[in-house]
Order: sequence, then structure tokens, then C-alpha cells
Amino acid sequence: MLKFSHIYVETEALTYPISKELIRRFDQAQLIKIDDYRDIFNRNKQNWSAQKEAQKLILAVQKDKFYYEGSKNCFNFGHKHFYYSSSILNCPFDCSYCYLQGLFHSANIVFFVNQSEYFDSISMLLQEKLQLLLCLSYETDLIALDPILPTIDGWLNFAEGHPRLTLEIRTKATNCSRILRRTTLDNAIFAWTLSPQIVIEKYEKGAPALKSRLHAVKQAIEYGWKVRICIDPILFIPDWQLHYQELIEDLFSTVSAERIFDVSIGVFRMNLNYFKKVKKRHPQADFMSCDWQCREGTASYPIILKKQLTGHVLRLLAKHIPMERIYACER
Amino acid sequence: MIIIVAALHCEAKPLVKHFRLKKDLKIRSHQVFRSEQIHLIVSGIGKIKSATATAFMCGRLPTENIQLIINIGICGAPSDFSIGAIYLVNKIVCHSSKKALYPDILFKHRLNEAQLLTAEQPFGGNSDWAAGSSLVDLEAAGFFQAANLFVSPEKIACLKVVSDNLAPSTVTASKAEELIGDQLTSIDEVLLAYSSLPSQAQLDTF
Repeated sequence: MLKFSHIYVETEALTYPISKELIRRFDQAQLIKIDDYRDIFNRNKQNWSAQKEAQKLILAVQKDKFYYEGSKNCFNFGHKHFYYSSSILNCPFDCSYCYLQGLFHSANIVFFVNQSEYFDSISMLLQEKLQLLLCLSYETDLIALDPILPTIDGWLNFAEGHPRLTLEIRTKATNCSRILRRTTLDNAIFAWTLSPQIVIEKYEKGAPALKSRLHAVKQAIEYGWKVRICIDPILFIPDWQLHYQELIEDLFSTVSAERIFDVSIGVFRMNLNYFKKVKKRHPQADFMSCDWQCREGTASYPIILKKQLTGHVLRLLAKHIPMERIYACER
Repeated sequence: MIIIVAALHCEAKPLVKHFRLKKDLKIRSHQVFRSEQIHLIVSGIGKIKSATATAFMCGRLPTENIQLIINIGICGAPSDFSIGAIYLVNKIVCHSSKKALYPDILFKHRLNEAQLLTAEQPFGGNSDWAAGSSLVDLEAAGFFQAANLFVSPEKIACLKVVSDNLAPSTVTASKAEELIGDQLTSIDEVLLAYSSLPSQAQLDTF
């Protein structure tokens, strides 16, 4: 469980009950009032690695950025209107390949306390677009943080009242039993990112083991939730063929393929500017030890290698699950 | 390598003695005292002088070797702060620009933390600022901004000892020296904690 030595709180955020609750819960933390979260979160010359070891909590009020259009580096899963929303910035896990290291100047966690305004804004968007895929957990892991920073119940309640909205909640977390016991929703998908155990050990610091994640996947399916499996990013590591084969064998020996809603796969890829920062932070990481190509502002492995990685994982998956339920990123 | 910035010679004196620093006679613009690990500069009073001295000292040393840049000195405070108490500053507000600056405190420590207002000139208890709960000094905002040009904010610290309850005329040089001298154990603890932060951290700034 995360503990915060310091809580920075916007003066406006102080009036929200959730802020008061968090301040009460972390009553040992130093409370520092701020005018605008960006004054601390967007400072220049911050030290991501050092901050990550001692993450602080920033309580803020989101003013206008309640949703964003989906990135070209992400799937739309067949939805014409694909958006994502970030009610929390940054993650408790420390994955070496994560683009958040490049996206944000700070490793501290920002929690936007005005969740109801997200709902208002997305309701309006939904009225305009009629159908919508909204991914909630791209810039954080909402489920991992939910025991401390509760958001999931609110989002699921919102989805329950808006059937034309499809929610995707992506996670590596396993502390989800309470959430999964809720009444299931047809328009909510829990998506687990799975990696070979060796990748988890080397590059997903703080994240649960594969075995635990598979257990959570199984539990979610048994409760009746739609579950998406994300093998993304696929990393070029020594003996990658073997490790991804083991991962997929472990997956389908734990859960029945018929009961998985769909699978998405994608080779490691990243906005070039973020990639430069990640590479600087992890110069020795073996998944970065090969040549790189940059196309249209996105850095990734050379095309031949990408095809090998994708092809191998696709072939392994296709033994268990129909291709129409597998989404492979082309980028 | 640690850089200490003190406004006055009387604040520097107990530190020079404690850390056995030798005066660098080659430097004529400022009084600089140093050992192999610690470089102390006496800046003079005010945020511009503090910024100038901080930048001067940082510019003379390889940035990658700097573990900590710390401002140590006395400050004023409202009457609910005890005279002689030491504080690690977690927020600095520049009174003239209203800009807020945030040192990152990433290690566990036993000191009390406080916020600090950097004023343009000394003031008494009748000032409208006295109603706040901040410490008050004349240097920290300038010091921090200069230091942050060279290192990331977890390598910048500000340690203040309360010298008066917004009555600066009551503070003598010998009193200031005594107040700093009484806090050498706490100062040692802070320097030790900062110098043990990961050294590779400098690489990760952006």
C-alpha cells in the first residue's frame, strides 16, 4: 500500500469531500497547499527516478481536459469514436518500457477529485457521438490505486446509466476482488496486460506476478465480466519466442479461450520524444538493445523484427482463439 | 559534493568550524570556505545576492558531482513558532512575484517542515504577512531558483532556524551564530540523508 509523506493540494480541491477523506487518512503526511497542480507537476528539471521511489500525492481539480481522442498508437477495437480519460496521472508500478516516463515531467501521482465533472463532460460527448469507447486507465492503473484513490465504482455506476458508452479499464493489478463482485455490466471491459514472468521481474517493478494476474483474469471471467487480454508491449528480449510461448500456454491453461472477450497485441512502440527519455533512463535494458526505426514520429523495432514478433505471438494465439477476436497493432 | 549557501558570516561561522572548512583565498568576490566534500559560500543578504552566490559556486563545480545545494540560515516567524527551532522548508513563496517553489523532500527525516516566504526586506510584526503561518527570510527564493538551474529539486534544500518572532532588530550576530551552532546535529542528519540519495539520479532529469 502506498503511503504519502507529502500531499500537495490545490486550494480549490480542498473543498471536495474525497480530499478531506484522503487528508484524514494520510494524517501523517505534510500538507502543502498549492494554487495549481501544474506548478509542481510540470516543473522543469525534475528527477523521475528519485521521485518514483518516494511518490507524493497531488490533489487537483481538472478544469477542462476530461477526455482526449485516442492515440494512433492505440487500438480503437472497431469503435468509430475512441477516447480516453485520465482522472489520475501516473502509476504505482514502475515499468521500464512505460511511456509515462516520457510523457510527464514528474513521477508524482495527480488525483483529480472532481469525478462528477468528468461524467458531465463525457455525457455531453456521448450525446454528440452516440456511441463511444472510453479507455480509463492509460495514464495510470486505476484498479491498483482504487483502494487509496477510489474511482472505479464511480465509473462503473456512470457506465451503468449510459449503455451506449463502452468502458475499458486496463490494469496489471490483482487487488480487484471487491470490484469484481459488483453486478456485471455489458458495457465495461476489464483489460489485463500480461507479460512473460521474466519481463515482469526485470521490467515491471512493483507489478504483480503473472500467476497472480492470471488468477485475477480467471476470477473476473468467473464473475461474468468481459475480459480483454493485452499482450502489449511485446518486447524483443533474449529467447523471446520461448517466453511468449510460455505466457500464452499459461494463459490458456488457466482460462478458457471462449470466455476471453478479445485479445490485443502490439510490439513495443512509442512517441519518439518519449522514447528518447525512456532510453536515457534505461540505457542497459535488453529490450532496447537492437536497432530502432522511427516512422511518423513513432519509435519501434525494425519492420522485419516487428513482423517476426507479431507473427509469432499471433500464431500462438490463433491456436486457441479465432483471429476475429485478436487485434494486432499494425504500427 | 555539498554546497552550503549562508547569507551572513555569523551564520556560516559555526558551520565552518564544525566541518573544518578552510577559506579559499583565491576567491575575492565572495567569502568561500571549503573542504574536499563541502563548499560554503557567504552570499550576503537578499535574494539577488543569494542567487548570485549560488550560481557562482555551482558554476565552479562539475554539476554531476553536486549532491546537495543547501541554504542554511536564520529566519523570522510568527509567534506560534519557537525561537531556536529548526525547519526543513517544503515550499518557498517569493513575496514580490508570488511564485511558489517546491524542493522535493524524498527521504525520511525527523525534522519539522514548514513553508517559507522570501521577502524583499526585513519587516516587523505589524506587517500583513504576519498573519500567515510561514517562516520569513530574505534569500531562499533567489537561492532556489539559481540552484534549480544546475540541479533537480530533490538536491536543493533550505534549512531555517527561527531567530525571532517577526522582530528582526532583536537579532544580533552572536545570537545568530549561537542559534545555528545549536542545530549542528540536525544539520548533520540532513546533509547525510541528502548525500545518500541515488547518485545516478542526475541523469534522469528533463
